[in-house]
Amino acid sequence: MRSSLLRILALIRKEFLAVLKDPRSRFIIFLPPILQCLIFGYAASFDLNSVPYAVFDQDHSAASTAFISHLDGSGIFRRQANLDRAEDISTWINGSRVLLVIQIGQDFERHLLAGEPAQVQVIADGRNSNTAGTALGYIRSVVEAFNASWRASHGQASPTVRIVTRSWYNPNLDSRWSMIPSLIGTLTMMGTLMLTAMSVAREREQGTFDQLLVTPFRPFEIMIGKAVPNMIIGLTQSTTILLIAQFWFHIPFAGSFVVLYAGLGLFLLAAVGLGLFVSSIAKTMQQAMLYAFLMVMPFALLSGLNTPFTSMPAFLQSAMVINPLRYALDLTKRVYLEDAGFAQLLSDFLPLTIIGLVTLSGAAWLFRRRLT
Amino acid sequence: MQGYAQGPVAEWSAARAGADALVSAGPVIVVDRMWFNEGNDSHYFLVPGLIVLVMTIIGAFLTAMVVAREWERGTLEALFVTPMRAGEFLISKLIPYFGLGMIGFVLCLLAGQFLFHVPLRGSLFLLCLASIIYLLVALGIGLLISTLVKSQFLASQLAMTLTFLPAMMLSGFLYDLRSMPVFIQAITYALPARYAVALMQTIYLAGNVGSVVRLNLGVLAAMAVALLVLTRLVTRKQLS
Repeated sequence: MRSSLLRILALIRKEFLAVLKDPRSRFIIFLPPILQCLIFGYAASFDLNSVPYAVFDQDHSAASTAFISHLDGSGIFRRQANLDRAEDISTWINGSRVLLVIQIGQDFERHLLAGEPAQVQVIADGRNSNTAGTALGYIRSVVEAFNASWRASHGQASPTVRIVTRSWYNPNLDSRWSMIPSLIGTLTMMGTLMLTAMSVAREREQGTFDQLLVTPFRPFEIMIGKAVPNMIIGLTQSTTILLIAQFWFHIPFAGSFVVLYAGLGLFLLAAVGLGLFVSSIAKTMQQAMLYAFLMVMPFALLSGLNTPFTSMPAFLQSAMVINPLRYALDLTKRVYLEDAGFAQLLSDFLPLTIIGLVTLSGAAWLFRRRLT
Repeated sequence: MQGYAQGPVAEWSAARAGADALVSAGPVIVVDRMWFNEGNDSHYFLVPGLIVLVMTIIGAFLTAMVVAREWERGTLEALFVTPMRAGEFLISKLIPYFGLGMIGFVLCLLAGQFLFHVPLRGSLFLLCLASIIYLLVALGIGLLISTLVKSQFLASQLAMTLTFLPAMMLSGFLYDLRSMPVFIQAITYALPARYAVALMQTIYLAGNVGSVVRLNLGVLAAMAVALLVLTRLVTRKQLS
């Protein structure tokens, strides 16, 4: 027992030396998560804060001018041009110079003063239909505001029912608040899974794995020796991102660190298990990297990071029962923003434990089979 | 990979469009039209973007390990003693991955046409030209990383950080570039994926728009030449 522990400790030490000895490799383990966290924290948002548009105003009336100034006053819409001819619309849209063109018809003001519905046509560049859809949504809310002020100033009755929205846990609906806690799991998984997958493949390529096999190590000791250092590196990575989230982006941490780290520990167990699983199949580093990549990609895309998990097709939802990142995202986000406790997170802790146990024992089995 | 991405995003944007439809009581009524994609089908922007992603993976990600592996295993020294020149060595490394990349491109094209029914409004010739040039850029980055770093682990991590993740997050494929902070927008100008995504989306959906195609194709071609020449210089220096 004691000698087994000593062997594992020696292997852990050796593993750390192999990874951290090279300054470039130290750099590549810690710098990308930090950079990615900063860049994605700023960039990865479906919110728009600058929508270039052009106006094709055929009315040239006080009402149309008031309407346009409502758009300009929103702070989001930036007018790039006033068009005079209908043919210009396609020039500006096709050339990607504006995202929207707003066309105000000749009798805009006449309709408004007569109390009739006045149409405004909005043309959006649908090359990225997501962005265009969001921008159109913004237009609708600006129009709502314009309508309300028009009704108020022209003595028309305002609608009796008003919807007041309040979002809990993220009062300003800042998408960064949900993005950055999600990065804790996502970036750590990418780093750890690849690191683990390649660590065994590298030994195999360089022939040092055979040397390891002639030592008195037993397969499960090799497994633990490979798993623990990578888990510690993964925990360090997630701590770094956690610190950036709190001290750089100032996202208040509502939960308990004990719950968070318990969850992260289990998650890393599953990630390292997957990495070891990959590396027991792959023969070269290129293969290991490709397998790891093919595993990480769908897990990351289907984890709920970019798109809500509940709106995926049913068969994908059921296929993602095995995705550790999905549980980790739910867990980190809920601990971070909602202060969820162990009892509420049982539905995440349990699957993570199962995935970790299955992948680790699967990898151990494959290891043993390869050894004999 | 297309299958993975398309489902959730499609449903998500549908849900989002529904949420945006506020109860309107007039008097101003918005009539909106989404050009190039009247039905708001998100496959339309995913397929062109995925071509760029696939090219990036094959071009830069796989190639990044090719030369590094030879350094690690010491087989490159064996090549040095042969009369092979730097240019020949690089071309022999480029061709297989170029072929793989083109196979990937054709598969994406077929999937876009027959599986997702995305219309190709521009010319097929321009689309192929754009993909070939972008593939050369990606291969150039991959080979340059591989030649400079000489370690497979480092090369793979660098390729991931420098090519794949930016192509996904900072190219305009998913997130709108104009809404990013200024310093991130500045970074995106250095990323070839940005130009490739603009090209693919335009050629696919808007047609052969001269101004967009010329600008983006020109930048990509310049990047391709610069990267390949640089790689050749670095390789020649290491050979001697």
